[in-house]
Amino acid sequence: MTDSLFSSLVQDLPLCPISLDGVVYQVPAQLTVAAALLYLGQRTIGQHPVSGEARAPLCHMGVCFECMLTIDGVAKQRACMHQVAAHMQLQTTITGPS
Amino acid sequence: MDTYKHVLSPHHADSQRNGYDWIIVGGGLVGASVAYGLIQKQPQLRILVLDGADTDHRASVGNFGLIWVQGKGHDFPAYANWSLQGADLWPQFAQQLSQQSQIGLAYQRQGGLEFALSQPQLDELASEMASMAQHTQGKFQYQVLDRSAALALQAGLGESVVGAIHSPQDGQVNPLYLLSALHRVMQSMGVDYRPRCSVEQVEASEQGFKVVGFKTRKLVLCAGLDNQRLGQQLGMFLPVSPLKGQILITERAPAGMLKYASPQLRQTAEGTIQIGGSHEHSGLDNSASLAVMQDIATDAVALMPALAQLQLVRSWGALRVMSPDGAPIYQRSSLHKGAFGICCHSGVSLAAAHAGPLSDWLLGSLEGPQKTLIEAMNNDRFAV
Repeated sequence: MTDSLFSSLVQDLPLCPISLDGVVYQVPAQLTVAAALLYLGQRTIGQHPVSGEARAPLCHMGVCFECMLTIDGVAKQRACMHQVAAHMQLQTTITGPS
Repeated sequence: MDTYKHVLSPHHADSQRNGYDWIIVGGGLVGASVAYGLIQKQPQLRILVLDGADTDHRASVGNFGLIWVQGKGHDFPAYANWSLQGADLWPQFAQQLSQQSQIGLAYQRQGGLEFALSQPQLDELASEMASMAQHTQGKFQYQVLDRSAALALQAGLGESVVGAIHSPQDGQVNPLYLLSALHRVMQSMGVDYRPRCSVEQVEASEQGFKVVGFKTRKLVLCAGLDNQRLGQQLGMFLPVSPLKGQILITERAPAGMLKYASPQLRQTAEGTIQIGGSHEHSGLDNSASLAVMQDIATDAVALMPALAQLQLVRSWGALRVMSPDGAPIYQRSSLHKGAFGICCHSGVSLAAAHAGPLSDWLLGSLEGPQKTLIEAMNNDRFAV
């Protein structure tokens, strides 16, 4: 995890605990999963199945399929199409060091 | 009209005044392959490609991307030989075009599989392949595979697959990169290109033809489904009709999930899997429909059950340009010297043939068996 490129314009937002690859974080409750990951500084979500290249959310509207990860045990969910919820379990598909 | 041959400049500032050597109506894969072929062979030619709008029915941006040989022309020897020749010309064509355009085409000739879901279907396919091999003096190569032989080539086939035909001569390409590469190179070599230029009327005169205000000595109709209408204006019978196909695209899967191309399934270089193979007579309606999407998805999962685990990311419908027997029509107008009509639904498979021998034929520089082969695919076969 690196420093986030993004910060919230609105202060004092209600926070919501989510778990990312087993580590619990607090994120603003109204964000999509994709936005929450960017907020946390998670710049890579998955890898291109053919080239192995690192991928991250691009379109944030359900079209590009670049942000797929496992949400509460359901594989290949688009992070941009789900809102974070308390105790949501997220697993990225990154294999090996990134 | 001999003035044209004295103009050597590749820049055609005066073409509007003095006219073109060739006007090609249609800038899809067929028109672009022909323009590319003509300008390669005779760089001094003044060529204009008139293209339609993005909203027109453009088979070239909706097709599946196969370079397919097996089965084509099993009942039409000239077409069988032409399909095979077209596929054989592809490796060199792809190499040259990608070098010139600096666009990778994702061309692969890894072979193709046509699956059979019953023994009678496999027997019928086998007999079509035998005819093709006969028509091509054994140059068409194939193997009839039973279920275990098919599984040895492609793991994960569904229970309903009883066998397959394998041909090492089939291949695939990214058709959008192909179209884009042809356009880039033809324009860089001096072909004039005008998009959003709908052609309602073609007029013949003593000196040649007039199309949307441009004059030309020679005219090639490559306008897909509009060839019928435009051909009629020149007294050329070009019977084509729309045959809709729908395509589904899955999310990207690891490379090698599908090792071979097939008419229903192919895996692109990016990893997505294309699912297709529907045929609908629905006029000019090119919309995707849920019922057909369900059918082709069901068929695909029957062929390869693991596909059920993949999400679909896109779908679309497109209209094939079909002649009555499915084979191309290469027609020279008998009424108006210098007018040609080219109709086919295999703009990808035949791109190399269209840029190669077909362009030679248009230029009048073909003789012998190659000329006979192309002319065997004229419209005489539809005469009543």
